[in-house]
Amino acid sequence: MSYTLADVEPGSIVEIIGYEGESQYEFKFISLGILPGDLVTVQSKSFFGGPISIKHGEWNFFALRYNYAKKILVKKAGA
Amino acid sequence: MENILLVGFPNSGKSTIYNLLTGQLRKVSNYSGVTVDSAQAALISNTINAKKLHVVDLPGVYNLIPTSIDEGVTTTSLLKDTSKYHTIAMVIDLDRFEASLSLLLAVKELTHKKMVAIINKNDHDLFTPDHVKKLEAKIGIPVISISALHDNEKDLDKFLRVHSDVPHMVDTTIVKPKMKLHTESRQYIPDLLLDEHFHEAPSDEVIQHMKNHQAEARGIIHDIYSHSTAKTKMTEKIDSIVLHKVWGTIIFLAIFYFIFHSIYTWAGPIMDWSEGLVASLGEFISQYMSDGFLKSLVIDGVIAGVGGVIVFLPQIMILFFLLSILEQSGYISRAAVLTDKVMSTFGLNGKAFLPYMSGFACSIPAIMAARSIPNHRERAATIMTIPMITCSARLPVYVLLIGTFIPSRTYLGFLNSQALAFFFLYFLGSFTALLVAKLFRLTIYKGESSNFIIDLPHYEKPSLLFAGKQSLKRGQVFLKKAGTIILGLSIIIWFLSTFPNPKPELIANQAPEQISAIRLENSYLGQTGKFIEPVLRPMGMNWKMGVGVLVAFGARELFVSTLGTVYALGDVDEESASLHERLMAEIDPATGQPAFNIAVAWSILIFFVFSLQCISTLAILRREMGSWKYPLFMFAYMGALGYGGATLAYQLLK
Repeated sequence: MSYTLADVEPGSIVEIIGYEGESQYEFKFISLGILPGDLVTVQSKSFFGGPISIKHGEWNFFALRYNYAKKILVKKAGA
Repeated sequence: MENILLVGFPNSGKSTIYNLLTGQLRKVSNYSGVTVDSAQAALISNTINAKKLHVVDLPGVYNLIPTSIDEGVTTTSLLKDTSKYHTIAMVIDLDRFEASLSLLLAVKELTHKKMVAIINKNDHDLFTPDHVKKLEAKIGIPVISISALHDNEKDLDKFLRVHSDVPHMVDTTIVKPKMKLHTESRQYIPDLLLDEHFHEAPSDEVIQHMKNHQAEARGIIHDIYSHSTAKTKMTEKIDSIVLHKVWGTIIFLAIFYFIFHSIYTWAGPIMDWSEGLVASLGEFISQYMSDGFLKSLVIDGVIAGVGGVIVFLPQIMILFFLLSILEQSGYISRAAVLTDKVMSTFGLNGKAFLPYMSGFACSIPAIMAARSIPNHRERAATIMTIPMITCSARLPVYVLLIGTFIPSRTYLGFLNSQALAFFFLYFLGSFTALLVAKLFRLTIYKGESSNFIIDLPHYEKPSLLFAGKQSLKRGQVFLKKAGTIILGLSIIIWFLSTFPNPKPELIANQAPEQISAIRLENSYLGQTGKFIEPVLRPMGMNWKMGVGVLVAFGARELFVSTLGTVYALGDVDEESASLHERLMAEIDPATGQPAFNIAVAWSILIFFVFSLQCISTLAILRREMGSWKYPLFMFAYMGALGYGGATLAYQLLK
């Protein structure tokens, strides 16, 4: 099992290492500037696998649907 | 005339800038998908300038590679018929500086056109004139920094005019590369031609290209600008509560309950006052007119009809004032996050939340806003159920019937029975809309759900002035409708309910109020109502209510004005009695019991929750979906639900 953004506990900081699945996911991530090597903080998770709220870089906030967060491969920051 | 295209991210403030420059109030929202159709208007300053400039507000995009119809509109507008516009104004969102600058770089690479950059959301002057100079030097494009929310249009207007006058030196020897697109995005740009407007490329190449722009943008910003952390910290803090599993849900429910509650408690006194005003206007005028048909037309047709609807103005304005504050503050996006799981349970996209929310105002903008949903089947399921969301046109009916028949009681010290009834009707409409959407997604609109991403803008302090303007604007639209369509129809209804004259032997030796009742019963309208009465009986409705329902098929708010007209006629001698009192006093001649009771009131309410009584919605649906089959199907299934629901309610409660 690969470690994805969907598996991260709220409050943790992780580093993006790549994407899984079809290219359309990659398109959205790249155009939002969510690039490999970036650090993201998981802010909160909703009930029953709802969207995951994320802080990206210094001042970007957004939420990703659970299935979508599962497409982003991450590793523990600094690991 | 020169056209300026406004291009930028969703939520970058394009619509606010458009409002500012043109003086037109295009709805501004913090949630992507509000600008679904491109809008074009002249600058306010055209009246005092020889040069006529127009701005075009295009749908917000994250990049030029379209993934939905409205994103395709932006790409197409930029690349096709480039002679139709003069300048591209890129709106850069300071809160999402890097990614939106990357979009600017992507556009700049493809076009020979004149470009300018508007840095928006500089609400706290963090982006200084020094930053502006540095950015101009880096990207070679004129830059202005503004706060569209706080500033007036003067500086921006001057900036656009100055740069429109500067001759545009184009080095056409530099060949601009064609945009590279992969096969999947071609479906959203049917008007663009392969090899004339774009080349096809493998998606890896397209992605690498985008990465390069992101990296370039990141480098530029790193060199010139660093963001204040105070606002970010605050947003983080608020979100840790507002997006929290438990607290967030409670806050969400509390906010929406508060909205409905305040509509009641705040609007009540104003409504009483305006109701009184309408009544005294009728009395005042009646002193100066002699009895006859003209007096009846003015008092019973015009004042009773239009006046009965106008009293609902305060509620409509309060609702839009509060919704505007929520939109401006950024909370609406958080609400979308909290509701996304629910939406996806019903087979819908999180992007359906805004169309549904807009549906509380009116189905027409809501159906248009659904264009931002990329998946056709999800879009169809959303559009086909939106009109069940309680729109503002239903408010008058709900308010009248709840106010008259549901006794005001307080539970647990703060829950008001009338507010609860109101809440229930809103809930019933919304929940059924979602259930039907799920049903559609499992049957006629079956298919994969599309993915979801939602921006969470920094929290902004809402402008009360702007909220006030929005609510005023909505009020104006409502009054215009009341003033024109409803006035016209009120007169027609008065005519249909007054003529033909009853046979003289029917009214001989009868008391005046009996004559009025007989007159109405024998009118064209009364005859039609009576004709359909057998169909209405299972719902507990008599022919008078049937007349109201018939007329309401033109527009829902006409139900109230029709009752106003119908009962003014039946009660012409009674002084300044409000419609509430008239309804309470109505006796069913067949049973000797009040014609309206709680079962009948609920039956009518349920009928109005479900049934599609709006010609405009049918018309817009035909336009959006391109076929009459959609409006016909919608009308039929909603009518069946309304009839079934109302019958069930009446039979259970009677």
